[in-house]
Amino acid sequence: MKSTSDFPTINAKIPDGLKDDGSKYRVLLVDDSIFVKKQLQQILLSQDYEVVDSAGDGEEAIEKYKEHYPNIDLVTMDITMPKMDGITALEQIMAFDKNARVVMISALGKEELVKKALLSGAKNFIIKPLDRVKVLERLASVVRK
Amino acid sequence: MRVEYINPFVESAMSVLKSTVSENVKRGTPKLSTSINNIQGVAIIVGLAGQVSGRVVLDMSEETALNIASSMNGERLDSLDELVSATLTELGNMITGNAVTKLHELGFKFDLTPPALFAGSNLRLTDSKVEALVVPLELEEGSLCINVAIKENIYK
Amino acid sequence: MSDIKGMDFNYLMQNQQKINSSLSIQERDNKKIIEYDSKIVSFRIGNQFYGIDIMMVKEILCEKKFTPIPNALDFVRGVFNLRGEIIPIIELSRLFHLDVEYEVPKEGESVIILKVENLLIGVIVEEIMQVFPIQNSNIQPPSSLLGSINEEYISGIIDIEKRLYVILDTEAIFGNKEKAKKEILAQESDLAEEVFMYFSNQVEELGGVHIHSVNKNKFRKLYAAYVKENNVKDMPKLTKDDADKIVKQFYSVNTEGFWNEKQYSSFKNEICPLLKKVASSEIKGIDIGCGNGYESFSLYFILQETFSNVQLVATDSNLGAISNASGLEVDGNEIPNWMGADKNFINVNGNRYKIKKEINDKIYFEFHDAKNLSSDDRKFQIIVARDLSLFMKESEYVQFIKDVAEHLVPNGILIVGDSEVITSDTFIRMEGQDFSVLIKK
Repeated sequence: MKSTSDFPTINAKIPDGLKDDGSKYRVLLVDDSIFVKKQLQQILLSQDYEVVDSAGDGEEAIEKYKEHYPNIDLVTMDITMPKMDGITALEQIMAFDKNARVVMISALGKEELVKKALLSGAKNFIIKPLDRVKVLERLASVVRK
Repeated sequence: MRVEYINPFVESAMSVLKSTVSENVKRGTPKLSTSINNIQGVAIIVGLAGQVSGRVVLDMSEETALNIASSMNGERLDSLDELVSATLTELGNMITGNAVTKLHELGFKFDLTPPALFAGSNLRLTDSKVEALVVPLELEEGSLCINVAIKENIYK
Repeated sequence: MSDIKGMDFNYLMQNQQKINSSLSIQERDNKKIIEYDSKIVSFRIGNQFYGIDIMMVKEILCEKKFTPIPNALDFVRGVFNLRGEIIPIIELSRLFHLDVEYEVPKEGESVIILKVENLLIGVIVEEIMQVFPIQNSNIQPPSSLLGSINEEYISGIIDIEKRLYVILDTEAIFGNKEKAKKEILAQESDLAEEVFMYFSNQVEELGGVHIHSVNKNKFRKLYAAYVKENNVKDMPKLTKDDADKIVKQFYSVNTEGFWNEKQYSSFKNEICPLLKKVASSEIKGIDIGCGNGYESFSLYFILQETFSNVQLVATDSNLGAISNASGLEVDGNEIPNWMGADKNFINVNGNRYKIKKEINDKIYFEFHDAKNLSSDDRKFQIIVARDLSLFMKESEYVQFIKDVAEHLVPNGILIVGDSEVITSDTFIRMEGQDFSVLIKK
């Protein structure tokens, strides 16, 4: 749906990506596929999130998190990745910052994997293929908590 | 290949393609072949591990590959560049991942390895030691084959 | 028996009685008893009379329609279907170049069915006369003056009531030692083969199966039965239903049902002891072409009585069948006593029973084409592959048997279909009661 900016509606919904103070939620994207990064980026930007940076594997994700800390509000984390998998990266990020908000995004939705991720501190789990509405709903529920 | 494995792969391929590429996906009759296949031009391979060893191959022509990647990205892509490759490997990843998820629900312990993409005009996938399930799929973007070969590890 | 028309035995018998009685008058006159050595069936072609030893005659018929055979020798009129047996019909006048033309009677031609060395041959003659008792001492040696029939085909000449009968030596004509046999009998088997081929081609095409040396014998029998049952006289014409019915008759006992008590005890008593030699508590087996799964479960239940750890794979290339096999559901009355309906099945509703999940899970049902068996690297102590020859060309089946041997441990057991004949140096055939058992050397 194109936004009809010529006719601003009175009760226009505030984009998900905006905090109450009008600033943007800052997101770190972690996925080894540039397709997924691109897809997520499109979804996030449409709701005024800010994509601060992205990483292609678990190791890079930890580096980038530390680099931007504390200016990161949300991490989307793939699981199957080269070098270091997303669960290990999740554990290390949580060890570094127990308040980190990490959402797992994976094509694999095996129950034990989901459980493990949630027990390790992930705030939510999204199964690919990505559905725009579902992704936004889940992310909003995480950042607004 | 165990009958229980068939539906998860077929259903996963259908549903992922429907939700990411185009609504209109037609499935052909599943066949069996010893897996010496003439790859049509582009092959996405995802390895399977765990209680089995095997692989899933999505096999399509370069034209179909570009059409599918274009649909998934919402923009026209005309060469097998990094984005196209990432898109297609992600497609393989999603199909296999969803199938493995379903199989887990049924009690089968599978893992998968990151996908790889091969492209070339005269590719052959030679793995005569395994019989593969071949399911032809028809989309507006072109036709592709999902080729699944799985061997039990615990039954040797 | 409706084939036998026209010339009937009553007629022959009446003639015979007449002759017998006339001879008895002679006897009375001579005041001595004549002992006859044999009888001849006499017949006429043109103006010459002939006789054939009645011991060589199986029956006599009057028949109009013979099925012509393309490219047959000129004296072969065609074939005739006598209650399932294909008989070549030979025109005697042409065989002997008698140069006789006669009109074919409306009711049909006279055919004498001869039995020569287990083979039936029909000969057409112009007119069948009588049966005479004869004394061998009255037979005179053949004379070359007697015309066109080669002396070596003639046993002799006999004079009965002032008529000369040429007694034909059917064994010499059609029997083993003569060139004629080669010409005619070779032709005969070709003809029978040709008609059978015509039949089997239709079974293959309509029934979707392959017929070759492994399973041909049984199809010959089914063919004979089909011909008899349907009173087929010409080249057989099959419908799809006929073909399906014939194929169904080929299948081993209980292909679409659990093995019965008899098969159960036969397997237990004959095959299990062999398996104990190659497996201790653990046994691995594969049921190739398991169809709807009855066979696999039968096999599983028998094996698990003897072996504590049964690992069974069941495969079929029919996706629908194999999908139903896993989680098989049957009527209660389909379950034989030995199988234990209560122990191994769950009553789902009414009289429907489903195999318990924990048992079903023990069998790996696989979508698999037996032609790709070589792609598998598992080894088994027992392979059950009944009636698979139907679904493979001969060359494919030969390869399949080689592959099977590769997948069996030494002294492992292969069970093939009840009607399949496997000739392989790799296996020793064991005479089983209810199963065709082969042991890998």
